[in-house]
Amino acid sequence: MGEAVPLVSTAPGRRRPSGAVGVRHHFLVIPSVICAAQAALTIAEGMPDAVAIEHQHGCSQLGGDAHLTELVLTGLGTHPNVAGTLVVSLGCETVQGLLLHRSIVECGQRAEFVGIQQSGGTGAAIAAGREALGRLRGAAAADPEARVGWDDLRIGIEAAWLGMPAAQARVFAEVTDQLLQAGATVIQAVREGSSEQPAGVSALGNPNREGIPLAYGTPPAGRGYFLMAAPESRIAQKTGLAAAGAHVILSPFASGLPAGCPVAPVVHVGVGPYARPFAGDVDVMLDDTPLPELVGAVLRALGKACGEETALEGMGAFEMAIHRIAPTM
Amino acid sequence: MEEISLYHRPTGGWGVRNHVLVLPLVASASSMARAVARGTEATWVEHDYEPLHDDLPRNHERIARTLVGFATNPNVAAVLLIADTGEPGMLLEPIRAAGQRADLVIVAEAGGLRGAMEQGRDRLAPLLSHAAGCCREPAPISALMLGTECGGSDALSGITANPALGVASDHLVDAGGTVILAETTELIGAEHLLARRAASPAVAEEIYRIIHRYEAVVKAHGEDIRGANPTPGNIEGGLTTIEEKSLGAAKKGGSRTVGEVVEFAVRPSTHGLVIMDTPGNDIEQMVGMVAAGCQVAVFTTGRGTPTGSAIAPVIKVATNSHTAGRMRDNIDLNAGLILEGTETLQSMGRRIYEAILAVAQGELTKAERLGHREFAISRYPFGILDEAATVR
Repeated sequence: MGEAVPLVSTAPGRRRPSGAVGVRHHFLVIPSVICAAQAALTIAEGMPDAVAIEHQHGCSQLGGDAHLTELVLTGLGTHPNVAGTLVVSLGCETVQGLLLHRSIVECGQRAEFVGIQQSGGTGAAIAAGREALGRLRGAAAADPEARVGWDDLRIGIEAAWLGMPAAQARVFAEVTDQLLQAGATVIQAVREGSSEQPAGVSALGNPNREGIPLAYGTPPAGRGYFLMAAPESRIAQKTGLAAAGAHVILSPFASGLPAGCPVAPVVHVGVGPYARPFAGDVDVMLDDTPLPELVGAVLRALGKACGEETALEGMGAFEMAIHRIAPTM
Repeated sequence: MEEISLYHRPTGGWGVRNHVLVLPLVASASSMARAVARGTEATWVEHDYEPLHDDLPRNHERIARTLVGFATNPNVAAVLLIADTGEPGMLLEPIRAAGQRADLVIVAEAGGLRGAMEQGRDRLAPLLSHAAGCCREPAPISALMLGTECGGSDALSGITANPALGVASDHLVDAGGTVILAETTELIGAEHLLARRAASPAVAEEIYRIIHRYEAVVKAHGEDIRGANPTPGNIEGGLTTIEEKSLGAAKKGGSRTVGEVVEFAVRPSTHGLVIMDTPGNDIEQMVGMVAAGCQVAVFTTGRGTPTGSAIAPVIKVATNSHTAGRMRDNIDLNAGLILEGTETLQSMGRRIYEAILAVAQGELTKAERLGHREFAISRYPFGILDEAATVR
């Protein structure tokens, strides 16, 4: 084992009514369907603590696929980094906004609802949405500050390191072990139908050292080490990890582009040579530095992201994709 | 012959708008497209499609066709493509080959996100000045390709707005233009009526084929189309079955001969009434029609749907006065007046046709004023049927 696990950032988080601690204080505006996305974006515009997600789902989806979208949107809406959620609905869609709002409220989250057809058009819905955000903000002011420890956190890890050469994979395996030892819950995305499993994770002291299987986008029932079934799309992996309640997402970055997530900060660990041009965008670069130092650097970056805005968040850059299990009709 | 005033493009098409489009070629380039376009005169879209290792060739081909078609729509004066790596960036070639003014930023080769952002702004500037130099000139009405769509349908859709749009479609077809009737899932049950108007037995067969194919794919997923369509809002609006919805939906195309059936996002080879095989999902359907070259669309709605397109004006026609009044911000025309006796199907159809010509010549629609620019990538939906066919 390397050095002692660094402390999480000393910046305080906020304790939610559910008891969970959040490392962000977002107000999330969720369109229940793509038709409501423009109104959702406009409601959040100019409000620095409001994040609107733009997704392409919510209508003419088949049963099982529509259900998955609902599950993921509920997970995002009840995320501990979210202080309050506003559901913006059109009114005639498949994923019904009112039901989505209800399932978010039933999870103990403070939430509001605005329907575009119900309000009488986009303008009225935007005005009602801004008022609703004001109410959420007022209520969330009561969430007390709380010290954040590793044992308060769920860390989501993307699948990209599974199958990397041993020297690189060891860094992520070691990070996983140290996080688990420090009491954090780790949710590791594992690609469905892939033989690549997290090798080298010893998960000492955890009741289930193999990792407990978890369905996509589903918050784990307890603490420990979980393996979440995930699609190949890195963006859909992030969305699934966030919907499962990951406070921070660790992204081994060796293809595509750095990408954020609407509710959870993403820590990018660049793996060369692909990541080299992105040296200025990633949080840690895997190079020839000795293993313990690299592991420490990744852990410090995770801790730092809990207390400070990441570079990507500063750019307002995040992407959104929900795993699909059937084509849209 | 009556003339209207449009933008003539080097692609040979005629545009009703003069947009510069920033188009991400993969999902992870969406944020970059937004960052580059925001605060400039350019428009942009975002989407969630990432190429995957197990992508079906037919899926890949359909998505490439959609992106190339969207980028070369005559409403686009110039396009800036954003790719993560060189491979998706290869779409620059067919877009330029079509005659479109286009440039490309490959983020991985531009020195990371900040470098790409700078390069994006640098490459966007000449495209914006190119567009600023484009002018409208006299064009024939036959240059127009109209997309027809209905969304948030109710029991009046098939009685007021859709047949009135059908009258407008007939006017445009008679003037030599092109009209696209789409959303195959919402033609289920009306196939025999459309097939009767087919230009040839082969076209009639195609109509049956695409409708039966959608029914089959829904069944192959172990689902029932009735679970997704009519939607809960349609049912609340008084629609009871997909067949009832379809009989109303099919009226949007008017009464002329169906000259051709085309696949999703494929440009028709003839003028007149054309059926395109698209999903019923409003956004995917609109993108398919615009990618095929539609410069303007009419969208009828019972419940009130606000969506539009980043590059094509979408005229909203309400089926009833209640929605037209309640959603004034969103609705351009009220076909509910037909029920009140102050308009007839014919007069309303004429008004829709005149609105198409006015909007084509620059009048802004409500969806444009509100900044609507919804976009979604439609995946190839028939893979499961192809698999079954191979096994057999």
